Order: sequence, then C-alpha cells, then structure tokens
Amino acid sequence: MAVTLLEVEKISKLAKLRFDDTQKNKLQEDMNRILDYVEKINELNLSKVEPAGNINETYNLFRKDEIKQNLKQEEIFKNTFTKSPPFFKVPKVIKK
Amino acid sequence: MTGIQEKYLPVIGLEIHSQLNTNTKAFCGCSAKHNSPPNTNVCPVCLGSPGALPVLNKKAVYLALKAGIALNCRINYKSVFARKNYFYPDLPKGYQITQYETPLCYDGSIEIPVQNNLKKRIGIERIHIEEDAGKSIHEISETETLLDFNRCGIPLIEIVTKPEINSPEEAAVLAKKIRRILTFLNICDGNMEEGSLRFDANISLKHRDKKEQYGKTEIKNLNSFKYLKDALNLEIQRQKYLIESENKIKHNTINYDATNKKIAVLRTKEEEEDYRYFPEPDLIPLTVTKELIAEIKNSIQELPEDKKERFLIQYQIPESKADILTRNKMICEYFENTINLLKIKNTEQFKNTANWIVREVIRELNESISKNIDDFPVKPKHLSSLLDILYTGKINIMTAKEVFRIMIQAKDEKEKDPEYIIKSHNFYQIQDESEIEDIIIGILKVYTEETNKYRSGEHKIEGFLIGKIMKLTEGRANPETVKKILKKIVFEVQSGI
Repeated sequence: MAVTLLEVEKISKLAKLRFDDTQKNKLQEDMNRILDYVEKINELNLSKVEPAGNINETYNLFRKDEIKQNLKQEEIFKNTFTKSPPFFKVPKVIKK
Repeated sequence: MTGIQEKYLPVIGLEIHSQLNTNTKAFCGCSAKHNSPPNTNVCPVCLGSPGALPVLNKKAVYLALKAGIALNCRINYKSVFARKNYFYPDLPKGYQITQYETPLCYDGSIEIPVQNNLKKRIGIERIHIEEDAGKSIHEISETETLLDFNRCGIPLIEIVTKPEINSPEEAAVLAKKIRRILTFLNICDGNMEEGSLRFDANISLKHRDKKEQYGKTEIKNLNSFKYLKDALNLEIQRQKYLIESENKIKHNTINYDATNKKIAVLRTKEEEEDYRYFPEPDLIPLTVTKELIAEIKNSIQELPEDKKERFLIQYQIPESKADILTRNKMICEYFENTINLLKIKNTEQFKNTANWIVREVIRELNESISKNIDDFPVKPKHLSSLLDILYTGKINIMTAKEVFRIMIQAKDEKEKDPEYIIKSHNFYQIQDESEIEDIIIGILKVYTEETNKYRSGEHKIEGFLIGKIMKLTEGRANPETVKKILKKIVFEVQSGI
C-alpha cells in the first residue's frame, strides 16, 4: 500500500500546504516508511481481536456541567501574532 | 401546482444542528453562554493549544440521549468519538470532534401530518454528538477575517433524517415538529436567530415515470422554517432547469442568501473520505447503561403532541389554545396546576383557564424581563382562586383583569390573594339590584336629554348611558344587569324621569 506522489499532493492540498518536488519526494518516502512500520502488525494473527478505537481499557470519563475559570484576557492572545483584540485574525477567507 | 411536482419528485433529507442546553462546552469548562464579549469563553482546550485534552460533558450525553429517545431511536450502548479533519480558521484544532461509525442514537422515526388527515412516518438515520465551530466575521475588515471562538466547542447534536421528505412543505413541518420536541424537553433553546438550531438540506429530484434519480446537492445553514422552504423551492427550480437542459447536477454545496432570496453554488463538496475520519485518541469510548436510558425515558413522560391531544379531549379546549399551551413544558405545567387547584371544575372553567393563560399570562410573560413562567409572580394557586371568584360572578371580567394586574405588582403573598385585593379595593360587584337602580335613576336625571333620545328609539345612546353608569360604580356593576335594569326603568316603569 505504497503512497503515491499523487496522494502526497492530495493530502498537502487538503492541509493547505505547498511543497516543491524535492519535499514531496521526501514526504512520500517518510509516509511509506511509517506505513511499512505499521504493516508489521499484519505479521500477527489478529483474526480473533476486536478492532480497538482506543488503547485505554477504561470507559466514561465525564465532567460535570460546571463553568470553570476561562483564560485571562492577556493570556488568550499570548501565543498568536495575528490578533486584533478582542478577535483573532487570519487572511480574508471569503473573497468577494 | 407547476410541472415540477408532476414530473419530478423531490427527495429531501434534513440535517438538524441543535445546540444542547448545557452551561458549559462539550469538552471543556468554558461557558456556553450566547452573546458574551468576543473570545472571553475560551481556554486551551477549545483554542486547540498543543497538549490540551478534552473531557466529555455528562449533561451533553444526557440531552443527546433524551433527543434520541424522544425520536424513537435505538441507542448504541457503546460509542466512540471520531476526528473529522478539515482545515478552516474557525476550527483551531484542525479537526472537529464528532461521532462517525457509531453515533449515540440511530434508526428512529417521527410522524408528521400530511394531506387528508393522514400521517407520514419519516425515518431518523442517526443522532450524534459533536462540537460547534467558532464564528468567522468577514464584514468588518476588507483584508482579514476576524475570529471569535466563544462558540467553538459548544455541544451540538446533529439529527439526520432519512431522505424520505418529498416537498419543501413537508420539510418545514418536520423541522417545526422537531424544534417543538427539542424545546419542550429542554434539550435545546430553539433560538434560530442566534443559531441554536439550524438546518442543512440534501435535495435531489427523481423522475416520476422513469424512476431516474438525478444528482444531489446540499443547502447549508438555514436558520428559519421559511428560509428552509424558500431555499428548497429555489433549488428544485435550479435542478429542474439543469435536468431539462441536459446538464449534470454536481454534488455542490449551496448557499441561500435570505436578503436577496437567491441561491448560489458555494463549492464542490469534498468527497467524504477527504475528512480522513479516525477514532479520537484523546477520548475514551462512551458507554450508556440501561438504567440511564430508563431514567431518561421516565423523565420524558409525555411529548408535546400527546399532551395537546389529551388537552383537547380531557379539557375540551379549542385546538388553537391547546397548541399555544403545549409549546413549552413549563406553560403546560402551569396550566394543569391551575386546573387542578380550581374549586369549580367544569369544561367552562377549563376553557376560561386556557383563555386566561393564553391571553393574559403569556402576554404579560412576553413583556417581562425573565420570560420564564417559573419567575412569574402570579402562581397557579393565585390564578385558580381568581378564576373561581370570576366564575361565581362576584366580580366581572374587567375587574378580574384589574385584580390580575394588582397581583403581578404585589409585594407579598397576602397582597397576591385575590380575595384580599377585591375586599381592600372594594371591587365586589354590586349584587343588590336596588342599589344599581338608585345609581341609574341618578344618572338618568343628569342626562335627561340623552334619556329622552334613548326612549324615542336612538339605540346608540344606550352604550353612552351604560358607560356613565359603569364609571360611577367604578366598574363594580355587572354590565348585563345594568342594561337590563336600565331598559326596565326607561321603557317599562313610569318613573317620571
């Protein structure tokens, strides 16, 4: 199940990222290496094992519907360059 | 009807996004309150900061199950959350936490009225929990999009119907019915203007004779029943035009512009696998117990539609009134509590109670600040005793309304007691007819000219004279009695007036 260059391009398009050809080849190589590694699991006989969505064996960790302290105003925008308080900002999404 | 209805059958499915009535967001303790100042209800979890972990709000699960049970769904006793990956600035994590392969509820149904008093069953495909996205603001700046993440992470349920709706009218009826159930059971506040409840509609056309089904499109984000209907009608026209001109209908997303009453193709929809769903590793699976289901079933008891049917039979009230009284669970309870407290119980009193609540209580409530009937100062015990007094004829309807207004303003329990108000304001109707006679004779002596005109056949003078008499008695006389005695004095008794 090798990843093709076309698939690398599709994923980068979905992620809104641009790469040059060298980078694309490198990504293709990396992705294939990861898949090869995961492929190892098929060496085991798993016919009697249920698919697991989560490796934890616990269920139901809930939170009560109670309001907890939010971030302070000065903390909210600390990790972003693109702000215009009280808003975050990004380049125009919808063009007229 | 136009040719569309004859040649093509619309095939419509709805996706109903309903914000859940919780205090906090789905996966963090931030307030879920509407209209807070921008970006004040945010934390590392809903801002998607690296390392922040979601923890599920139990109330959201409870409310989603309640919706599922009310819509006759089967419940997945074990469900997992999934990541829906897409890149858009209103979703800072880069994915939405939702449910994919195992929705919490599935395979339900709901009945809607159709023509000729028939009912039609529409299937509910699934109901799953997911989180809302933030709000993008495009209008303020020319070059930038501004973002408010207060809404990001608010719990939603998405109710997906089967594509079994066959007209825009049916779609609107179904949407209204679902809204009523959700608000009645306090699952959602149903506020469509603020976006608590919004609809997406899938629509395709099917050739009635050839049985051919054409391409499907999706209309997004409709936040009123009228927009839902109008947008569907416009899209049916557009699809019909494409079919007739032998064009292919692409799997597009359609936007409805309510201001200009126009639809526009937004984008070619990404194929489903492009969302690259996978099980959410940050949340453990959710299990539901049979006990919890039983508890919720017990709390639902009667749905609005069933209540309305029962009110019609049990209390013989008109359908229009029953309809209003069953729009809200608290109003229903107020009505039935008042009925139970009446000392005189007969259909006339039941009708009076329904009328009074619809005309007076709900009107006052709409003008009050809280709009919540639980905060309304006049309780069922006060109203029932006022209605009993009114029924016995000790006061007339005008006085009863006056007493009601005093009750609303009253500061303590004693001042809310209608008996007390009537006594202290001397509101009792004059029962003694001779007292009324004296008053009428007095008035007739002052207005001799009008009296003569009345006697010689000018009927419109009657209202004038009754008005004067009522004014003098401060409304304490029964207008019917006044009319009767007035006629007797003027036309029968030779009183020399």
